[in-house]
Amino acid sequence: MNVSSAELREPLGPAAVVTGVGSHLPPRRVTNDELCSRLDSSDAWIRERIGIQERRRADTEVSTGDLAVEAARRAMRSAGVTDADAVVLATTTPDHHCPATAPAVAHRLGLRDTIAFDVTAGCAGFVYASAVAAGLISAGSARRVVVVGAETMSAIIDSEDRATAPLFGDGAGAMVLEAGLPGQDGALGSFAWGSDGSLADAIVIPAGGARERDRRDTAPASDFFVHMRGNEVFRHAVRRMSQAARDAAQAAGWALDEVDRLIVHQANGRIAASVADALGIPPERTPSNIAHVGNTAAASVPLLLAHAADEGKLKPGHRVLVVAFGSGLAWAATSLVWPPGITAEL
Amino acid sequence: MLEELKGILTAQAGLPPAPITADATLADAGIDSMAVTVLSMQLEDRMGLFLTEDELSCAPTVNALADLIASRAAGNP
Repeated sequence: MNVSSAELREPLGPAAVVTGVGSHLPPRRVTNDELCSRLDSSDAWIRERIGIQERRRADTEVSTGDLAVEAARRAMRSAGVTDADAVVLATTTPDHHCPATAPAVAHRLGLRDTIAFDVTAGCAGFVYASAVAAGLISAGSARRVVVVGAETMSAIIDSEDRATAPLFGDGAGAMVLEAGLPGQDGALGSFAWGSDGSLADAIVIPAGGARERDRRDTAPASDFFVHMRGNEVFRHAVRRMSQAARDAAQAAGWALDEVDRLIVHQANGRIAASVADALGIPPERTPSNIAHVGNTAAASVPLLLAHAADEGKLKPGHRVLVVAFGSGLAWAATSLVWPPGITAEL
Repeated sequence: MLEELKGILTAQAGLPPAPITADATLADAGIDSMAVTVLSMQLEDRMGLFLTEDELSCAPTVNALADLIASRAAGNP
């Protein structure tokens, strides 16, 4: 049963209020030309068709946890805090299958006895993690939560696969959520989120999990990378993100023409543009950073929040819709009024 | 229908307009699979027309694609 927007209740208990945002990108830039030396594609095609000029790539000794620690540290500095009750890490590329990556991140942040776990919802992961964090706060389990989206997509993308190699990049973004009053500026509104497991194989890494454990030694190398049915995903991404964004806006009591900023998962340039077009939200109210970071999966939304805030595109009082979509298939959206006093740390 | 098709391909699918001429093949017009998906979705939303990507991709030229859409809009199977 999918809760309709009319039934999306106001959060019970304290609200989750954004008090800091931060991000971290590995320094190494990979241009389209560098990719195209091994791909049957071109810089012009990639720029024109998916809107990407370059993306970042973590060095081999750097992993998702390292990116997450740096982004979280900056978000905490942005919020002016040194402690937290919980770390919720959205990722598709954990450092290990076991344990989760979040506890080590929390430890490295100097946090002790902290609630810490990973959330897996593909590119929708960060908004899923924000919903879970908001739940911890409204339930009274935590008063301050660091929510992180971090990815080393280069670990799961086949550099010779024309369909995925140009799309993805490495990076991390984070946000600090603190208990506050429902409806205050910065408070996350109701979440419109869901999944469609009938399309679980639309975006999948076939091997490496329990399902294919008997093929560990025989599976082709490509099965340890992301396989994606691009066009099918495109259609569902636009449909689901558009509807979830409508539901989140309605739950916040906003008409779509009252939305000041649409923060949409940077899947590819055309998906984001199609969602904005479907919602009737013009490009100037739809910040984008995909040209220089690519699709960073669960890191995409927090990276865009931090960059947009840093560039002054998110101003206090702005009505902001946040929406994402990813493997599962999964999608999630929420709303907030951008609060005063947020200085993003990049 | 040809002009509306061009409008969707440039405004919604983000294709450069110049190559989209009546006699161009879909490939020469730059109409890739993502553009066909956008077109299929726009026909659904705007006209309540359900044409699959496979059907649309079979059109030999841009003009034939416009004719296919017009014909289906007129209720022909």
